[in-house]
Amino acid sequence: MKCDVGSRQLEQYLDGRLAAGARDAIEEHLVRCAACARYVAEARRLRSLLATLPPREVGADFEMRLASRLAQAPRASLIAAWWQRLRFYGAWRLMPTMAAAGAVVAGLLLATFLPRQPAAPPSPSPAALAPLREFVEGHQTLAAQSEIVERVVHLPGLDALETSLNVTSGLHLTD
Amino acid sequence: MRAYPSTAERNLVALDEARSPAARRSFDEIVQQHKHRIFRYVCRLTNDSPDAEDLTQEVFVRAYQSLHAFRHDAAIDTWLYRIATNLVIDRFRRDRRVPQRVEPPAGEPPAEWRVAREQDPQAHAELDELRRQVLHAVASLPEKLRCAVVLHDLEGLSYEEVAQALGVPVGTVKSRLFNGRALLRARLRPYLEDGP
Repeated sequence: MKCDVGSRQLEQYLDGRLAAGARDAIEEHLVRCAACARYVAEARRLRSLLATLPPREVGADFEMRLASRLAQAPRASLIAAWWQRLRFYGAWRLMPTMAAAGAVVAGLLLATFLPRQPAAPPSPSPAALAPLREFVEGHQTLAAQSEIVERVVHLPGLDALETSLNVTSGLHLTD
Repeated sequence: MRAYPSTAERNLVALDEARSPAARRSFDEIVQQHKHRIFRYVCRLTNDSPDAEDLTQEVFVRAYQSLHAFRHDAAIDTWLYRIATNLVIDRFRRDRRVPQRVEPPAGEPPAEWRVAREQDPQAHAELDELRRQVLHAVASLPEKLRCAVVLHDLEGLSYEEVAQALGVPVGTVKSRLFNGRALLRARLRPYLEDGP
């Protein structure tokens, strides 16, 4: 088709699915466009051909045979009935709902079973920290004193001084 | 267009809970009302298979077995079409074949046809040949396209009813109809073009 009117739109026109304005526009177009007019004519002939198909009717004993089958047919289980209902009413329509429900369930499961991070301890007040600060400062002073002692112990010549003192006094510094 | 749901249909579903004889009578009314329509649909789908009447019976048996799955917000014939569609497609897939039978079913044709045949045998023969070609063209459509074309163009269902009967969106119905008709146009081209 070489015009702006597509064949899908023509099919909708033939099916009576267009609003009045669109329908009028198509009808005006069909007067001017030979290709579209031919398409519509052929589509109408196709519908006429389909209408020529002969009617079909069940045989006279249909209901009698059906009654016999129904008498032997067990009722379907509830699960089978619900499955049929799901198929009939279209799983595609339930998919957004099912996806949302699945997301909610997954979220609940994650929230329930994932290991939790320990909660951050509350910040202590300055007053509560005061004893701890004193303790740390006291240890810092002791550590500084220990460093001084270490340095003195390792001064060069200290061993010779210790020996001479021991000889002179007869005492051992370490005693 | 039919009315829905009919009083019989409402009574049927309401009474089904009790599985009473009245429910069975209502079901019989449904059978009486829809048997020819469902049979015709099965015939079109199966290309007049000899099994068409058995399949139609199976449709009603399944409907009876699962009446409690039926809800009021759809016409019962749409529901029956749905059962028939699933049944026929399942049968096709099970048998792994497309039915090839194109002969008219056994039995006497309607009286007006017999009169027409007697009055103009040649015209009637041409009409028979035309019908055979149309039946063959419909039967040769892929099953999804065939269901949409038969329900809409032969059974007269609306887009929305076809969508419900096939369990697909309306847009899919439009697409299947368009594609199915395009195939039919191609296969029946000699019968669609203007004469000399």
